[in-house]
Amino acid sequence: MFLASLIKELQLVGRDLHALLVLFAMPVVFVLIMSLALQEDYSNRGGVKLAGWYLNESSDDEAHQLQDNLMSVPQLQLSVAADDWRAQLMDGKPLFVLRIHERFAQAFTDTTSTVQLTLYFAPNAGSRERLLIQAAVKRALARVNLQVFLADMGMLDDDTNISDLMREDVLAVEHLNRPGDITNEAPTAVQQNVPAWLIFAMYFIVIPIATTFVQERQQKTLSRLKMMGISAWSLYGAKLLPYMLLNLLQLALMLMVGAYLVPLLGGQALNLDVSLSGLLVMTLAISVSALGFAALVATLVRTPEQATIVGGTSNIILGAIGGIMVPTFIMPPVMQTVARVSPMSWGLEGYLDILLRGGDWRSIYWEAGVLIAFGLAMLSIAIVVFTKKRE
Amino acid sequence: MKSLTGMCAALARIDVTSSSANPILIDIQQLNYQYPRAEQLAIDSVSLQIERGALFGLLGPNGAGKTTLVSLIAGLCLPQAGRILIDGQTACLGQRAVAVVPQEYAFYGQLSAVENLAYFAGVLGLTGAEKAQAIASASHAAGLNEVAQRRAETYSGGLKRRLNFAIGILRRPQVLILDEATANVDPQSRAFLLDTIRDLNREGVTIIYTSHLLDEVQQLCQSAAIIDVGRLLRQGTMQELLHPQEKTSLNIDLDQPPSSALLAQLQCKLQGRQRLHWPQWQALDELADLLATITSSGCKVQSIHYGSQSLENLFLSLTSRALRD
Repeated sequence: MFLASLIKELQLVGRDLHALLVLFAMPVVFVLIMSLALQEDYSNRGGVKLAGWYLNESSDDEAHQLQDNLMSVPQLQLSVAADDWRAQLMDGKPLFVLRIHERFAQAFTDTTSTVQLTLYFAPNAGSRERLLIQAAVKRALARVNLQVFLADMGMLDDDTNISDLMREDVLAVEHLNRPGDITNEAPTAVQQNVPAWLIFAMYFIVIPIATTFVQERQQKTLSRLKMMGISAWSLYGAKLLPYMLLNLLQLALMLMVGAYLVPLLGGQALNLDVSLSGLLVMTLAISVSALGFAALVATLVRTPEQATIVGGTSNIILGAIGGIMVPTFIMPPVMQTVARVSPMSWGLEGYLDILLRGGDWRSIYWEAGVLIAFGLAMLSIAIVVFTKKRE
Repeated sequence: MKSLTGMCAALARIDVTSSSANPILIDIQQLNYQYPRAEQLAIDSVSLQIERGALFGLLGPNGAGKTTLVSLIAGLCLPQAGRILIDGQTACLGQRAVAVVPQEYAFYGQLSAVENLAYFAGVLGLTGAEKAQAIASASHAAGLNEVAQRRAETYSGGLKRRLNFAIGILRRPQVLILDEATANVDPQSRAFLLDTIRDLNREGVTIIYTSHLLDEVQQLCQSAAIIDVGRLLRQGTMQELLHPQEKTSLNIDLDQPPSSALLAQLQCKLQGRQRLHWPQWQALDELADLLATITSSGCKVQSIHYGSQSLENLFLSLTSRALRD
């Protein structure tokens, strides 16, 4: 009975070309558009360096020292300014220009001296980038100031370690995290969008599942099956398993798109040197949650139109809340908490644990567990409602 | 539902050829059923007996309760009162003895006839050679062999009815319930289906046939029941239903609705808006006076029917309205 149902569902899924188009073509389009369009924006938030120029008009040692200090800042990527630096800065490349004035060294000896260091920002520089760059420049300036002071005091020699004297080692940084928490480590555009739109597409199976369920109910096929003695678990299981297979195919397709198609169009490639077993476990967990949700919607709606509207709308809402359209790392803390209501956010964090943070299946046990529990709970409710409902 | 199905599978080990001393196969006793949140009973104190091997007609207008009764016999609904016994066993979901061919096209249009039959045969638990034999037999009996590989959604209405029927006879049941089996079907397919139904009945299958087409039921069925508004109005063999006490009926169709004064004068019933009906009329020599009275009232006679009771007349006399109202 179960095998016959499974074969039938595979046949039906394979012949539903519209559904297949939505489930595969839609996420590919979204990944391409979002990864390419927001690549710069993501790179400015993530691990890629903030590009800037320096214009050194001074020949003093202090100016060169400042330059060296800034070169060693890991978040900055400095190079010499071009002659038309103002025009290029207005165009947004580079992000900033640091002009060291001719009498820069005078600032350390003459407290009445005027501005000897100017930081110019491009129009598109965000407030967070400006603060980060300003802080780096001020820190580098403080190091130079300390060096000058120590030299004046006769305490600077070849063994002097400015970093030790800055005593930054007294600051310890701890980022507290509960399992499943959203972290604010920023992914690249492709690292965010491939898993995000994959999850969105996986949940979109709610529409074809609910539609076929409603059609079976309306055509009395469901009644016929009940009279033949089919069990609810057999009915649901056979109906949902082919879509789990579809979800796995979606995973394969989206990884290929991220790794090979996005870079062909000028975007960053998705690094696939990650735990594939972790990706598989996470995908299966997300699939279980999506299938359970789909089963419940299918049981509750009465018409194909309701299936489309309820399925599509709920998908969009869960996606918006869960960090699919707007990444959670740029949400305020309150919204990040709200995001955890959406199972999609759990799935996305699980994927990021693997793609961004280099974890494996052991890193995602919490997210996977929550998603599987969610899916099974939804499926159980669906079956209870199904068995109690009059056809 | 699963445990109930399992219980029924264990209890109802019935095949068509089993014989029993009890000639009554289906015994419906004081059945009541009310849909959730409905104000009145859909089935109201219905008691009905259907003999083993009968070809039994179930008649009634839309909303009479025919499909509800079918659902109760099939075990799809549970009655609030009364019971249904099928060969001595309580009717329940998944019972092997009963198969239903619903009014709707309850199959998958995206699949071919063969694929549909293979699926439903699998659901019934058929495997291997037995499954292949059942598919071939059902396909042949329904005349689908030539179109078996085409998707069902491309079929005509007649072929769809045949496929619907073929699924119902995959595993020869003891009771086959056909709900409007020939609705919207071309005459050729209709004749084919009716012949197949007669063949099945000759092989020993008890058939319950619901239909709006009274002529069809009158020709096909040996016995019938008429229900309306959830109540059983009359049950019996065709002979009993159509020739009560060997009396005949008289119907006169007028060109306009008669006045209430005329109706009172003629002491007859009004069927529909323009038909005068006497369930039993024996005074043929008074027919001329009757017609003169009608004509003098200003009405014109369009047709006169005098003869054996038809099912339609019986129904009209029982319910005072047309079957299609």
